Amino acid sequence: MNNLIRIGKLLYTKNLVPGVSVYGENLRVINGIEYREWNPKASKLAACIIEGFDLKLEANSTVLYLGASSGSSISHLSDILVNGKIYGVEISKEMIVRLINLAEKRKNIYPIFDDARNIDNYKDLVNDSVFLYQDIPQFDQVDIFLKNLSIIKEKKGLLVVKTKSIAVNKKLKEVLELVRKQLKSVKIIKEKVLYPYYPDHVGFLVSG
Amino acid sequence: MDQEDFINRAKDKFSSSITEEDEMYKILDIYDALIKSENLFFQSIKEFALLYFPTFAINATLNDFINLKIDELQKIKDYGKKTKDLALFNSFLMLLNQIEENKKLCIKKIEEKCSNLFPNSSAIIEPLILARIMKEIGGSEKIPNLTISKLQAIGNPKNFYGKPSFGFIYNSKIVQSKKDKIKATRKLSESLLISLKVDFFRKTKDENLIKKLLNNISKIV
Ligand SMILES: C[S@@+](CC[C@H](N)C(=O)[O-])C[C@H]1O[C@@H](n2cnc3c(N)ncnc32)[C@H](O)[C@@H]1O
Repeated sequence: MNNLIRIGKLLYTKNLVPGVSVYGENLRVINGIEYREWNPKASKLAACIIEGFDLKLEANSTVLYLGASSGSSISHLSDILVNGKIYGVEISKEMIVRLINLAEKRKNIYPIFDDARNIDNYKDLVNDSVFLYQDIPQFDQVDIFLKNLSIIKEKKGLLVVKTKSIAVNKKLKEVLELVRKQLKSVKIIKEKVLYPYYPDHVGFLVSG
Repeated sequence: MDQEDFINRAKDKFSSSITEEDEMYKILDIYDALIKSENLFFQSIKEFALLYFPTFAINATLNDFINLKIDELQKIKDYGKKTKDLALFNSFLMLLNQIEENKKLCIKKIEEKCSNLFPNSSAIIEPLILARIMKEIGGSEKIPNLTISKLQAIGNPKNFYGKPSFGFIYNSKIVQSKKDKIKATRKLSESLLISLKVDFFRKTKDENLIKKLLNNISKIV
């Protein structure tokens, strides 16, 4: 992917706003270009990329991102999708103010303050998205993902499932079977536990 | 819609989404932060005072420092350092008093908001404790899923399930005034669950209900 490099167990994205560290991450100059460290221990999206999920995003891609939080992972996508857009959906009041603040400094971040279950509120605003990313630890996370996937042109997306949010007492294997069943309407391209970074999270790369 | 429109839309939605309940929980956080800061500050003021007034300071409580005035300070005869930086010491005492004043302001606001939000429940248990309970469960939207055993365990650091609880309700004034505190905790939790459900569905004070619920608890010795 554009503006993204890997050195050992760490990723780096070319800083869109040179000199500024978004959430305290290290800045590092490589061949005269400033990069921001993107640690897979601090971002599930980074862990997915390290674990070999190929999102095939271009510099001008538009991504719908659910569970944007304060935008630490989104800020790296913002480095990558320099000519694209990231629609970040976030439900929490505490987090959305931080995301708005980030969006005011990075022109490719589009904050949406809503519950990702209520797609009718925003589906017409984000219908140019080509990829869906979701990191929402809720009981109905797969439903939320499928609902939103219907907005995406080719139904491409990466779902990060927190297995403990679906069932606390079930074994990982059982939860995964449940998730696969729920995802039967789409093609699972890659599935992987985000071990060792997030042993109770599993990535599902899907396409329609 | 361009990016600026998205930002403005999110801003508008944010400003209209802030509730009195949100404010109450934030003020509660500030109140707790003030208590922590005050204690920390008191400990170091005490160490400072030990240099000048060891006999007084060694036994002085937080309240002793809060009530201390500069003219009284000058009168204290003690065996510490003779030339004292009283101006500095007094300035510290003033800040301590300000923290105390701000704590009172917080409590007043929390009580006011809690009584608005939960008029019946606030009559059954101290609003400050009620506010703590509501914050811990994640806000009033969680009321429909509350049970008595959950309620009485809230604020219990160990949170042992099914065992007698020593949480927020156990520490309320009314429970502490009873001999059988475990039974009182249970009864108060029962009553509070009823009043919370009433507060959730209609925010009007029902004096008859309050009387009935308080009666339930007053029967316990
Ligand atoms: C684990 S965090 C995401 C972290 C983020 N992906 C990152 O790496 O920076 C999950 C976020 O999802 C949000 N969330 C939970 N339920 C949601 C919902 N129904 N709709 C939108 N956001 C939700 C939470 O408020 C939280 O900020």
